[in-house]
Amino acid sequence: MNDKLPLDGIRVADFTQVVQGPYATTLLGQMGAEIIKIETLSRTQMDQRYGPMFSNLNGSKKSITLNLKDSRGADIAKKLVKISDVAMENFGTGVMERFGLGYDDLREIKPDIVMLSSQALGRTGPMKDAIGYFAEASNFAGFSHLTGYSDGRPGMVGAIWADHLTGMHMIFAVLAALRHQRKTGEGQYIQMSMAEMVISAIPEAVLDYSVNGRDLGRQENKEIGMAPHNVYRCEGFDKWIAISVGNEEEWNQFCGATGHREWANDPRFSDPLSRWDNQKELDKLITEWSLNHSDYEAMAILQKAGIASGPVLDGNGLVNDPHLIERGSFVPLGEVEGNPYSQVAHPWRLSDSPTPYYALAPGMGEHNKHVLSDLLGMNESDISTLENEGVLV
Amino acid sequence: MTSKALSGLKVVELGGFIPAPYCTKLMADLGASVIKIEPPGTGDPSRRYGPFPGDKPDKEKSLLYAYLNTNKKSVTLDFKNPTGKRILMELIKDADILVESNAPQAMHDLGLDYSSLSSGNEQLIVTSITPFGQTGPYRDYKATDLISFHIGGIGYPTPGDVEDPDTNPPMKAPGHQADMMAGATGASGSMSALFAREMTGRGQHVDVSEQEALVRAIGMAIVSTINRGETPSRIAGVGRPIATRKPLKTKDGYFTAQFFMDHFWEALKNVMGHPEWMDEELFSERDLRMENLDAILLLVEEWSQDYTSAEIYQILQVENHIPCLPVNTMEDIFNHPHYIERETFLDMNHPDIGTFKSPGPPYRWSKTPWAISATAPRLGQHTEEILSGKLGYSGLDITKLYQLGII
Repeated sequence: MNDKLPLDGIRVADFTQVVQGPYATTLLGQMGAEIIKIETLSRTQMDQRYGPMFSNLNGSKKSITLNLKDSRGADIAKKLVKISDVAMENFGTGVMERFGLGYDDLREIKPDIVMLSSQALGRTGPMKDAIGYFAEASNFAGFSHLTGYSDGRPGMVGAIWADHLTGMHMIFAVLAALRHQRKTGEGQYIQMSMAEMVISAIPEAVLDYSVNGRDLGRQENKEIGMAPHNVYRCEGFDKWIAISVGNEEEWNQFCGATGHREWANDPRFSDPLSRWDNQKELDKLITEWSLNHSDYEAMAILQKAGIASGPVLDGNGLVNDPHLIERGSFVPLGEVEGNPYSQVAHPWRLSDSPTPYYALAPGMGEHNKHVLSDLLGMNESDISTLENEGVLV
Repeated sequence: MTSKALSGLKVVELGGFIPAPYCTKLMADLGASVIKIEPPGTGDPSRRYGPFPGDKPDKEKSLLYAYLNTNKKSVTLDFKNPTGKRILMELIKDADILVESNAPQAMHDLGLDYSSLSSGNEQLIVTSITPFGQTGPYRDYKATDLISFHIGGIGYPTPGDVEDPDTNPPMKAPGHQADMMAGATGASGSMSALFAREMTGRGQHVDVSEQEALVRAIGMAIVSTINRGETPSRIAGVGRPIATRKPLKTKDGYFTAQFFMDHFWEALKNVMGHPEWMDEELFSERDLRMENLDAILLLVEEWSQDYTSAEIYQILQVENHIPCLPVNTMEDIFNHPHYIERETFLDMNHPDIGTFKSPGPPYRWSKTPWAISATAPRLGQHTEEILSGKLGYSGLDITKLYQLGII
């Protein structure tokens, strides 16, 4: 086993805030990159330091506080970029430029920097200045329109989905750009738009409209041509089993496993087209079966018969899921605000690298001294001047 | 020739539908050379998935396949056959990364577990993207995007704002979000293993569980459950409305806007002419506004219904810098001046499908552009080229392999 994490030696000047950027950089930090989070009290905080939520997205980092509106603060940020491999930000379009920290400024001091910017709608186009979070980006991408119940209003995915999806692609992009930089010495600027990221993740609906002019609207739990393909009520309050039957072999297995072989011969359900047309009736019958089982019982019965299925888990369900527990998906890291805290494990496992570096989020400005004196070589009197003059807030 | 970020990276893909193909698409679109292995005859299951132009199914015309397999080469190979397996081992002998998505037990039974796969190439990185990962009691369980999304914890609180949970079940996200996230996770994981290889000279096994990729994305539910005993829910008013961002009605559509931060709240007061309810104690602080978001949204909707979505956007976002965007339909996104100016949709020219607009780059690179240099391959289009050109099989061998149904 190698004793170093994969990204050991890579330093990231992290100007990101809220969710997508911090998600990307916390995962890079867990993989061994040195993440220096630049925070500030000097502008309105988007990035509220909500204890456990904050650690979920900002663990495994160092924190310095810099007033970037003060040119001395911006100068320190530049010095930091000079000794970094990557700079990442997701302010509104133009904010970094106003600080004097746009790509053109940064590559002057560090020509091979890999810089990544991500904005709600990108940095060009008539709406480049629009600000928005995951909900707004999902709306503008057409994603909210496709989410939810067929007779209801547009829906929101119950996680900050667009941010996490974008964040995961940020990691891939930054690492691919770093590989290129190591091979050629060339840095570059990568620009993302959260809305375009989301569009690129819904090709089925986008291409159906593009080629066939068809917009199927809210998609519920459906997959064209597949029935059963839904969630079904189980024993207990708000417990559900998700079931997905893919072909005739699985359908026959399903009828056998649920003890309803007669469904296979019922003309309403005997072939896939009939099942699709009569899925409401079919779903009702399946619910009569599933209501007599717990969600996990139903999964055990169906998986044994080779049917894709699983319980619908809420937060408690996840924390108690035997599979996640056995895989060590939750890593206890002491306490936050006097209550226990567990970090969700890194989303990929490596067979030949050490355990990811897990740590709680740093205190705000916890690493000011370390970064300014150890990394940037500033002396104590200069640091206290900066402190006294409000640059380090 | 412009160099690409992943020029020279050799990738083999052994797994169909979305997770593995999306993972290798991310690499191929940045210049990696990707050989895609498909089952002879039927090909990748996504070839059977629509949409198809004019609803006329044809394995060379699946738009989903065409989207997920740009810039790749297609080789048909029955790797479950001993001879096919031998050819697979030859193909990965000088590869950097193998991306696969088969059940762990099935790979083991075929003699294709990680240690066997890497036996002839210690630099090989094997990235396995499966519903539940390589270990644990569910590792060989079957799942589809629907199952992964729900057992990954994100369906339960979706789509939010529900009064009666019995008649309003948990929902998955549109398309195949769990599969896409798993693919992107595999791509990031593969890159991290490349960096580790720079230090050690050795490849390794990257284990991606689709369930865990989702669980990590709803980490807030976990930490909040463990730390505070609160779990997000789609039921209105239950749990913190962490992700409840209900789209509100306008005269002609819907929008969302974010009001809970102080400066946005103050701006909203001005916009709405400072109605009395906005001074209520229960809306006086950010945390309280988060708690009472449902009430706020209801009251704001009474106001917003008198305006069109375009007016709301103008008033809130443009004039008052409140984060706010309308809900677009598919028609809207294709016609929006913003997307048109940014060339968000690319003109594709596919030999079998013809010309059509497709989602363009998820990111824009200044030095090594993301690019579609080749449309998705026909089934087995590159079998002969790879077998004869790369692996040195004779024409007669290739004929025999074809006759035996191995390629």
